[in-house]
Formats: sequence, C-alpha cells, structure tokens
Amino acid sequence: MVRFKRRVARVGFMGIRDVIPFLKFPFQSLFSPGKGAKTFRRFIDHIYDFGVESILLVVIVGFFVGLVTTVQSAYQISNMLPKYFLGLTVGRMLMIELGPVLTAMALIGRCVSAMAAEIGTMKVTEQIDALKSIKIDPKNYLAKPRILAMLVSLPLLNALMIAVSLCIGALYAQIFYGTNTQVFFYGLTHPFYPRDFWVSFVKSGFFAFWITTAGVYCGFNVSGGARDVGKAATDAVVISTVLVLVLDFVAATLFF
Amino acid sequence: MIQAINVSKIFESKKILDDISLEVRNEFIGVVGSTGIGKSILLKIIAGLIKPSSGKVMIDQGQTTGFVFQHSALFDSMSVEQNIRLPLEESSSFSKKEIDAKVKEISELLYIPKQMLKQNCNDLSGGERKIVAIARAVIYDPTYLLYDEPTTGLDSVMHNKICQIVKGLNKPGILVTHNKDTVKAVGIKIVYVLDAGKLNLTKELYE
Repeated sequence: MVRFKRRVARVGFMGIRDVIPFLKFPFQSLFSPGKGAKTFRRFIDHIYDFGVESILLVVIVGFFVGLVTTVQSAYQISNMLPKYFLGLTVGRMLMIELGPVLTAMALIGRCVSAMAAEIGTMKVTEQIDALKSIKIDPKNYLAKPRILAMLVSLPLLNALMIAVSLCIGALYAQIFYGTNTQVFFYGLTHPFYPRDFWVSFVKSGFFAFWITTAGVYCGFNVSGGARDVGKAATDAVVISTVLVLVLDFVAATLFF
Repeated sequence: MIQAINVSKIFESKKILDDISLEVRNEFIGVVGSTGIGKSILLKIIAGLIKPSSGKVMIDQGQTTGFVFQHSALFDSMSVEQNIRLPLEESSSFSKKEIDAKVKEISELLYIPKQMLKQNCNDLSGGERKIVAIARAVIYDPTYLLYDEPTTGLDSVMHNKICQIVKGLNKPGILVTHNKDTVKAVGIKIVYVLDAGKLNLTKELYE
C-alpha cells in the first residue's frame, strides 16, 4: 500500500513537473537548427506515413460515421422538421465536431502510439545519443518534420472524412428515408456559415500539433527498456486523447 | 584539448564520479574499471551527452569528438551506408560527390566490403556493427575519438580486428573498457583506473 501511494505520488509529481517542458517542447523543436532540405525530405516522408497511409482508415471511419450520424439525425428530426434539416444537422455535426475529433482519434491510434514507440526505442538503444554525438539535433531530426507533417496531414484527412461521411449519409438518407440527395445537400448549405468550415480546419490543426507533440515527447522521455517503451506508447495515446477532448472544449467556447 | 574539471555525478543519491579531473591533448588514453563503475557515464559526460552534477568539461574551440557506443547505437531503420553517410549528409558543407568519396575511403580503411554497405544494420553481427559504429564516428574527421567498450561481447578474432582498426586510426581520445587486454592491444600508454568514483593513473598494466 505504501509502495502504491509512493508510486501515485511520483506519477502526480512527474505529471506536474512535465507540464512546462511539454508546452515548450514543440516550439523548441520547430525552432531547432538543422539543414532545411533534409528536414523537408523527412517532412515529405512523414506526410506519406501519416497522411497517405491513413487514407483507408479515415475512409472506413468516415463511412460508418456518415451512416451513424444520418441514422441518429433522422431519428431526432423525424416528422418534426423539413427533410433538408437532415443534411443541415449531419453536415454541421461532421464539420464542427465529429470530423476533426474522430480523425484525430483515428490518427492517435495509428500514428501517435507508433511514433512514441519508435522514438522511445531509439532513446533506449542510445540512437538519440548517437544523433547528438554526430552533431545532429534530435528535435530537428525527429520532432520537427513529424509535427509539420501532421499539421498538413490531419486537416486534409479531416476534409476527406467529412466528404466521405456526407456522401454516405446522403446516399443512406435517399435509400432509407427517401430524402432526395439534392435536398440533403441543400440542407448543408442553407444556411452556410463559412466559420463552421474554417473552424473545422483550425481545430484539426490544433489537434495535429498537440497529439504529435504528445507522441514525440513521450518517446523522447523514455528511460529504461522495452516495458518503458510500451508505457510511453500508452501514455502518448492517453495524453493525446485527453488533449483532443480538452482542446475541443476550448475551441467550442472560443469559436461558438 | 579536452579538459574535465572536478566532474562529479550523482545518481539517486549515489556518487558515481567523485571530483574527477582529466586532460587529453594529443594522446590516446585508456580508462579501465570493473563493470558498472561509471566509465561510460564519464565518457558520456566528456562527450556532452550527460550533464555532470558538478564540475565542467571544456573542449577547445574548433575541436570535435566522435563517439563509439558500447552497443553501437546504429540507426536500425537504415542501411550501413546510410548510417555512415548521415553525419556528413546532415552537415551543409559537403557535396554528394565528396560524401561518396569519403564513404569509399572510410569503408576501405575499416575493411567494410561493398556488399555490406547495402545491408540493413539489423542483419549485421556484433563485430560488424562495431566497425560500422567506428566508421560513422570517424567519417567527419573528429579531433578526438571516444570509445565506450569497443570490444565487449566479441570473440577473440573480432576483438583483435577491432583493436587493429582502433590502433590503425591513430587518433587521440579516450577508450574506456573493463578489459585490460583491449588497452594493451590498441597500444595505449596512459591508463587510468576508475574505482569508487575516483580516477587514478596506473602503470601496473605494463609492469
């Protein structure tokens, strides 16, 4: 029991002690010195890794999110509101909430845990020390291209997910609720607030920035062995998931 | 010149290094000591990879160190050639042609066969990994080389080969090991013994 209490106390202490370094970490990484052309090449590699290779996952998630939101929205508005409200509700929900949040969640599972594990393994096998020994800044080499690549990939994947969900939703509404596709899409744009559109991308950008920071930071701070690498991957997922929810609330209060 | 001045290191309230001072000019020195005594920590402090609890390490301006890690620390997602090229590729002062020439020169110097350059680092034996680690450390021509247990876990044939390579490079620096035979085999004349956090010059190895 005493050991357990000590452990909890230590975790709590480490958590508080880590807040400032965590907040500083992405900015230190982005402003770290390095050869631009090389960073750009790694940035492109990570765009492929995070962006292109996540397309299938995002399409699958978008497919089912589109179905579920359409079914739920149809149930909520059934026989009370005009049919075009279905498009309006589904579109709004996807654009300002579900699109950014669920795309971020999908990438946390696919990329953030992997980057924590990869960098954590590099840390415990002294590869990060090896980078320093050959005068390469590990933050520039490992963190900067990943943060930038996710900043580009996540908003684009968010757009893809919204598009897939809307198309599937429109199709489902036509087949099962007899809502004409044109009516569904009319609802999307009547009324259309440009703010909903750009807020979706701004939110995605924020999520991208901080979930990548969580992944890379957890990897950089591994000490020990294989078990600690696994723990870092779990921590990265937990921290980034909580961050998405916190940032989502912050964005909701700021923009709406 | 490398100068370690009154360096101490405390880990979890245990003093690993106690007020150590060391100077390296143009010589190759050895530090021997039993396993877990703090040799690697001392070397990493000198290389700037670990911060000392107190004291400081100074390296003359314009001088650099190359580090050969105990477990090689090769970038395992890369080929042997990519590992060796990396230090030069990340520096902006070398053209691709110069890097190619340098990789060829170092591979020949360290007896790295051409077909091995294309192999992934995970496919190499322990000894081969050490050689690649040395190649990666010397390719940018550092002023000093720091070797952390370069022959640990190797059979006698590989041990001799690595010692021959280290001797042949003829670079000033520091080699830390628990194996006194390694120190003798690479021809180090100045040997320190690290014991209970203190560093003492010894002549006993050659007596």
